[in-house]
Order: sequence, then C-alpha cells, then structure tokens
Amino acid sequence: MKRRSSILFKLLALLMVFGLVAAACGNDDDSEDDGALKVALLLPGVRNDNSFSQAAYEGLRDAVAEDGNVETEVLEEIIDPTDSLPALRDFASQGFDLILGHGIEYVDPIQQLYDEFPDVAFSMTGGILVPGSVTSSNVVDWLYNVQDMAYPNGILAAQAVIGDTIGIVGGPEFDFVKTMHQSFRDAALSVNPDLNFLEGFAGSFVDVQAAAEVSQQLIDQGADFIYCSGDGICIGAAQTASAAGIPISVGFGSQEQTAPDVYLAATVIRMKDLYLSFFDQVRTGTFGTPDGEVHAVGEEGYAFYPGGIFNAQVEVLPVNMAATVDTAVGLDELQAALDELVASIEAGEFSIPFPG
Amino acid sequence: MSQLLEATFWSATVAGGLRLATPLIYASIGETFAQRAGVLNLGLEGYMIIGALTSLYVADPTVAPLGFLVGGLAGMALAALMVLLSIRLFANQVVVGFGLTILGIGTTGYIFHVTTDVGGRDRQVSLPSEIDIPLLSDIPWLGDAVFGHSWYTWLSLALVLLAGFVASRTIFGLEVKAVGEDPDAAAAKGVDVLRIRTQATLISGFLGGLGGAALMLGSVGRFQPYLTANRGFIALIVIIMASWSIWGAAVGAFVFGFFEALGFNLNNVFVDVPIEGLNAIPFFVALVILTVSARWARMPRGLGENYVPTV
Amino acid sequence: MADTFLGGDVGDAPPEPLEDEGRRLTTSLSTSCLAVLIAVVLGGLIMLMSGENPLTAYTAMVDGAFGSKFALGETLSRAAPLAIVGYGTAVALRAGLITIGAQGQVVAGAIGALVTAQFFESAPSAVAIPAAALGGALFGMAWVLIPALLRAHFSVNEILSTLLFTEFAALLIEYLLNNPLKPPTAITPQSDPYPDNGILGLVIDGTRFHVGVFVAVAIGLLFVWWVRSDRGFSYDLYGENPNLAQSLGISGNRVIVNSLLISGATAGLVGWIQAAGLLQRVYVEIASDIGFFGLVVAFLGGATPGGVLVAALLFGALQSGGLAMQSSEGIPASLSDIIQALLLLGFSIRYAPQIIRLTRGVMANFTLIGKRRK
Repeated sequence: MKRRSSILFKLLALLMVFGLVAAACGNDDDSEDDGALKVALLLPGVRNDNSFSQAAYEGLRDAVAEDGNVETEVLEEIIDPTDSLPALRDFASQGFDLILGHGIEYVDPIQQLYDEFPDVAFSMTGGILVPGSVTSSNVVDWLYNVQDMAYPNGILAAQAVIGDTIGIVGGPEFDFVKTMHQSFRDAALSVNPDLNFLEGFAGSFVDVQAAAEVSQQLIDQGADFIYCSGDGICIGAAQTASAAGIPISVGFGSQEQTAPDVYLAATVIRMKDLYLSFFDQVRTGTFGTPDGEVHAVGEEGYAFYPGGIFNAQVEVLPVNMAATVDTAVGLDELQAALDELVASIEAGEFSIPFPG
Repeated sequence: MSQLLEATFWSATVAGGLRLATPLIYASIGETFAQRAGVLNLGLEGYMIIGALTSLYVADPTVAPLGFLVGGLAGMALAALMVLLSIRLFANQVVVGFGLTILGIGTTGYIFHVTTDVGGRDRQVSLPSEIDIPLLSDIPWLGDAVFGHSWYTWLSLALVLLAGFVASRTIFGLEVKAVGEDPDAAAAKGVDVLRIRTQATLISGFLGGLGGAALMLGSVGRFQPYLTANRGFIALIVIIMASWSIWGAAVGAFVFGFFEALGFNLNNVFVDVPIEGLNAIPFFVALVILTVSARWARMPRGLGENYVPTV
Repeated sequence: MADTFLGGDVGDAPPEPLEDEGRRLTTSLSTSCLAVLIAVVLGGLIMLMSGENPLTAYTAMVDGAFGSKFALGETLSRAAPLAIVGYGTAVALRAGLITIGAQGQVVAGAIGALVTAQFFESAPSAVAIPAAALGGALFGMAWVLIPALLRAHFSVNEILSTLLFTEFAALLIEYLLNNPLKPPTAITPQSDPYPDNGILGLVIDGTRFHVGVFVAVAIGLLFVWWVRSDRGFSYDLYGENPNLAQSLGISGNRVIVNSLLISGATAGLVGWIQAAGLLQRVYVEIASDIGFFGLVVAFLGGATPGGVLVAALLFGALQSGGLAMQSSEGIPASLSDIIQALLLLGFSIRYAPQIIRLTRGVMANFTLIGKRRK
C-alpha cells in the first residue's frame, strides 16, 4: 500500500536528483568569448506572424547580417506576464550584452531587473506609456507612432475606393487599435469628407475566421473597401476581400501573398537601423541616458527613441502594381499620393496628428 | 437602428451564422458520438487545429478534397492517443483531454515554425466558391442566406442526416448509447464496451479533424498558430446545450454561429456598446438555452467514467 | 505524508476485492513509470529530429525548475496558485461536481482584489492586505454563484455553466482594462500598478518567492481539516452516494452551492496573490492557465491533500522548466509545449482507485439530475 502511493513522489525525487547532478555538471559550453556582441530578442508572438513580432525578427536578422559580429537568441511567444520576468532574467544571467524586449509586456520586468544587472543593456517598448517607468545607463525606451500605421492607409483608401463606404476591421478593441482606426478615418476624411465608415472587431489577434466573417458582414452592409488594422487575422480579411473583389489595405504587414488580386498596400515597422545603432552604443559604452543617470518618464533626459515615417522606422510599402481590382484612380496615382505624403513627412513639412 | 428593419441585415446574419457554424457542426456531431458512448473528449480543440494544419499542408500541393480527408485522419490520429491512454489504460479523461489540446496546439505551432521561412511563401489555398442551387438560390433575401454556401457547409448538413440515422437507427448507434448509459449492463449483454468506445472516439477525432479542415479550407486558407481560437470548447458547449442530440447539435451550432455573427453586425448599430459586450451575446444565449433545456437534458450516465472490464 | 497522497485510502479502504485491486496497482505502477519514460524518450526523439540536443534541453528544464535559488522560487510561486485552485476544485470534486470555471474565478478574484486594494489605498497594510484578500475571495465566489444556484435549483450542468462564466470573465476583464481600470496613458489593456500598501512582499530577495505562496500552505492545512471534519465527510458522502446522503438528511442543494462557493473563493484568492504578489499589476492574461491546470492537478492528485500538493509542485516545475528550456536552449515555445504535453500525458496514466471512485461519484450525481426532476 505504501509502495504504490509514492510513485509521483519518487519521480519528483528522481527529477530533483537529476537536477542537482545537472546543476553540478553545469553547462560550461557557452563560455567561449570571441568578442561577438550577444543580443537577445523577446517577442510576444511568433517570428513569422507577418506583423509586429516579425518586424523585430527581420530587423534583428538584417542588422546582424550587416554588422557581422553579433550572436543572437530569439525567444518567441512570451506574452504571459508570468513568463516575461524569468525569461528576461535568464538572458541577463547568461551574459547577454543587449536584451531587446519587443513588447509592452516587458516594461514591468525590465523595470524590476535593470538594477540587478547593470552590465546588461535593456531596450523597452512603450515604457513611455507606463507612468513611473525609468531609463538609466542600461535602459532605453522605444515606441513607434501607431497613427503612422494607419494614416497612409486612409489617404490611399479615400482615393482608391469606388463608392462611399469603407469597412474597418480590427482585432480586439484595444486603445491602440481604436487609435489606428481613428487616424485612418481622419486621413480618409481629409481627402473626401463625404465618406462613410463601418467598423468591426474580430475580438482577438488569433481568430482568423472571425476576421473573415467580420469583413464579410461589412461587405454585405455595403463596404467598398476594407482596411484591416491587425496582423495575422488580416489573412481572413484579405481572403474575404479577394472573394468579393474589393480592395484591401493593411496596418501591419503585407497581405500580397494572400490576395495578390485585391491587396493594395500596407505599412510595416523597420527596426534594422535602430538595432544597428544600439549595437554601436553598447560597444562604445554610450548606451542609455545621455548623462548615465536614472530618469523617469516625463523628465528631461529620459532616453526615448521614437519611431515613425519621419525616421524610416515605419515604411509605407509600395503599392501592389499587380493588383487587378478596380480602383477609382490608377495604381500609379495611388503610389504618387503615398510618395507625396511620405516626402512631406520626411521633409518635416507635415507630421501625422495623433487623433483625439 | 434602422438597419435592424432591413431584410438584408438579417439575411447576411443568417448566412454568416451558417458559415461560422460549419466547423462547429462537424466537431460537435463527432463529439456527440464520443460523449454518448461515455467519453468526455476535452481534446477536441487539439483535433480541430491539427486537422486545420494538415488539411492545408496536403491541399496546398494537391487538391482541397484530399486535404479535407487527410485533415480528418490527422484528427483521428490524435484521438487514437485518447483511446490508448483513457480507454485502454484508464487515464483520467479530463487530464488526457487537456493534454491532447496542448499537444495539438504545440505540434501545429511547431510544424508551422519549422516549415515556414520568415518572409517566404506560406502554404495557402484559395477559398471555395459558393455552390448555388438553381431556383432556391434565387429566392429574394432568403435564397442567398440559406442556399449560397460552399460544399463544406452542404456536406456538414448531409452529415447531420447521416449521423442522425446512424445514431438512432443502427445497431452501432444503439450500442454507443448502451455503453454510455450503463457499461456494465451493456457488457453483460455481450457488447464489447471498449471497442464501441474506441470507435466512437475515433469518429469524434475524424469529425473534429474535418471541422478544423472545413475551417481552414472553407474560410481561412492560410495557417496561423492558435487559429481555431477555442472553437473546440465552443463545440463542447453546443453539445451540452443540445442535450446530446445530433439534431440538437446541428441546430445549436447554428444558433451559436448566428449570435456570433449578430454580435459582429451589431457593432455598427449600437456604436457605443463595447465590443466585449457584443461578443458575450452567444455565450449568454447559450446560458439561457442551457437553463431552459436542463428540464429535459439527460446526460449519458457513464460520461467521463472509465470502464475497467473485470478480469 | 508519502503514504497518504495517492491512494488516500489508507483509512478508507475500498470494500472491493483487495486482491484484484492489488494486482491492477502493481501493473499500473510499472505502467506509469514506463509511460513517463516513454514520454521523455519521445520528447527527446522529437528534439533530436529537429536538431536540438535533448540532453542539454532536459538539463535546462530541470535546472530551470530546481537548479538555483531563483529557479526554486519560480517553481514554488507557480505551484502555489495551482495547489490553491486544486484544493478548491477538489472540494467540489469530492462532492461530485466538476467545475472548470476556476479560470474565470481567478480573473474575477484579481479584479476584486485590485478594486478593493485601490479603495483602501491609503489605509495601513494591516487593513489593506486582508481587505484585498477578502475582496478577491468574494469576487471569486460571486463568479460561481449563478452556476451554483442554477445547478442546485434548475439542475443546470455546471461543467458548461462554469465554462460560460469563464468566457464572461475573459470579456469582462478585457473591457475593464480597456476602459475604466486602464491608466489614461496606456494603449494596451493593463491596470495601474497594484497599490503599494497591499503588496505581498518577497520572502527571499532575488527570487519571486513571495508571501502569497504561504496562502497555499494555509489552504492546504484547511483542506486537511476539511476532509477530516464532519461536514467534509457529509459532503464526500454526498459525492459518493447522493441518494444515501439525502436519505440521511444531508441537503443536496446546500452541498452543491457551498462546495462550489468554496472552490470559487479559493480561486478568487489566487487572483489576489497573483495580482498582489507575483505581478503587482492586473493584466488580461492574469490567470495564465491556472484555472485549467488547477483542475488537472486536482484530478491527478486524486483530490487528496498530499496528491494535490505533489501534482501542483510537479506542474510548477514543468512550467518553470519548460520556459527555461526556451530561454537557455532556444527551443521554440511550441516544441516546449509538445514536451510538456507529452509529460502530462505520461503522468496521466495512473490507475488510482481514488480517481476512479471520484469520477464515479461525480457521475452518480449527474444521474440524480434526472431523478430529482419528478
């Protein structure tokens, strides 16, 4: 009776012994130091999500290819707040020189850890939105302008649409999603104040079928153009738009593969140059706040790197010239309108307003 | 508000309801067989997602019907683990079910991970066209809503008829019911309880896989991790709501799909209502139906309980 | 302890022929060992096929669960909520009820704790901390109240109603964190930081081993008391034989409502310790998958005090080790999921009469639904 009841316990003991042995033997294989910069990247989604996470992955990949002397480790799908701190801590204690936390979910744990690991450089995403967060000699903050991911699409949509109704599809009804939708509407109305908008939400970033259905419902209600602000779910929106023969543009990442006939354009984030400059700063010891002191959000000296069309961290992808869908003006004209917008932003003549 | 008075609003919602219901119909009918036989299959989500990925990976280089079929077989393969662990080795059904769901999500995510290059071409199929039924599809409003659907929807409806027949008019159907109600009595009458439960579970794996395949090939066409978004658990809700009836499961799936589509649609009618409130509508309706149907609901008595034959 | 945790039948031996049981158990012992071994080997093969080194990967897993002070803290701080939910669920299971709504109750508890803590923001900690705990527990109970009443008075299946309330909780927290509970600057759903005076501090610096972990110990002791108390016995009796219990004057409705409320309260406490101890902020994903794994823990542990504890520790280790496998060996999250699922399936093969009797009790209760109607 006693023997049989303790099997789980025995297994546990076995695991513990195994653990101790393993700890004693240790992994001593990663001690070789060839002078390469060790960089870790944490992503909330998968590296090929065709969206936010993929942008960081591609940016790091391209930066490493250009730099040549960097070792990287990428950790995907760290979205549960319970997991982000131990994951970051593990990287920090493995001796990584630079840890890129590509998502707002890593702000809190970086705030808790940076003190303990002064030799590790941390890059946060969106710390500026979390009151009380600080930058220091080893913490900096980055954020892209969400409106830059929507406004160009609005300019494009207003000129391309045949008809007067535009359908907007989003994932969950988060604030930044609503902000994108508003910026899209502002842009479209600036071109044509008579446009009407319909809006739908799939409710999550993963439910592709819901996004397809929401798009279908908007089309049934009269939408003549679809803008999808999301990421992976836009596969569903693009498929539906393609079946209905209605043009679509996308907030995060191209859907050219899904719907080559109706996909027109998209905006994407480009991280390569920022990462290259981080590599440089870490090597030369200039990473962090300018004076090396701790500065909180709102203070002078807070080390913040904004991203947007103005510094080419947001790119408006070229119009898909192979599209066969009917548009109110030619594809060349759409491209020209986007070029004009980008040029005026880069020249500093125009900056996309934050809606509301 | 005026949209609510337009027939197109409602016909679009009905059509959307049927589209959303299609994968649920496959999955919930299969699961009804398993649960009638006494097997609580919480791995349904896993069967669906593995069916979705497999169907795409087969259909991309070949043709959709083949992908659809192999998707079903993939779901059945995962269900074979349920058979091995729970039915043959008496492991707790709830534990194994959760384990299979995680296994399905992990496996599909991993296959997608290793077979996809960042920036490369993902596997993809184009969506099927609607099959119009002459005359019927031309009925104003109703025709488009009810009769303009892809063959995945039509097949699911045919399946309801077939499953209804099998469940109530064949020896197998009666044996399934017998082993789910009282395995000991069934065994005493010479029914091989483990064999019937095995077959019912494999059916549920196959149909669960088909459900995922219908979702993939019928309305999505390209893979993303977690793509089934808890539809396997929704199928469980549908079954209990339908009191383990095949017809009920089909109707329940449609009711759920209809209110889900309605939630999407109402966003442009009641602009100020938060989307979370609208998305709660189908679940609220399910709760009401559940409360009402509890009056006549009869759960299979042996559900969830492993049958250990006396040696 | 080692002798009670699986069978739980030391003092409660089954009346069935012991020889038969004994034979099955001996075979099952080797079967379970074999099953776990197969799971380990299978996982290793998959890693080998995908070009990972299974030895270093498993080493990293064990290391990440037990290999350092920090790792042990991780395992404990993940095991504690699982154990608490497991004990609460076990009370309901023993009374013949399957609640899979702990997930939603954890979410409700976190909201309750946060709102209460914000209300007592300027009170001394001695007031704020117990108040928030109470708030969490009450919200957890509130979240199961309707399913409990529906089950007791209208025979509504609680598996489904609690699952539906989990959906409602998920939608509610998303709404709250996108709107009223969201700090004005935030653009993704998260709350303000948890008020300082309500924080459950660290026990060991440099880890996440926080005071809230001891709540699991307290709940465990309460559970031991419960299963030995007269009331606990009458609830167990109802779970095993509802007809007999009712003929002895035990009110079925009371058992149903109370045991579900107990499970709701414990899950609510978990929401509180996650918000006030581990994360110190409320997120949409605050419940991780604690509710679901808590149920698995309760089942695997046979709803006995020791069994739940061991199962919870095992899962805590599996989760912290699974994450470490990703961060130190670069193994993708999906592959780590596969390995964890295989191990879970391996551990599931365990012929324990306690578990079988448990499900039998639960199902006997269901059949009563039909009978009570007349």
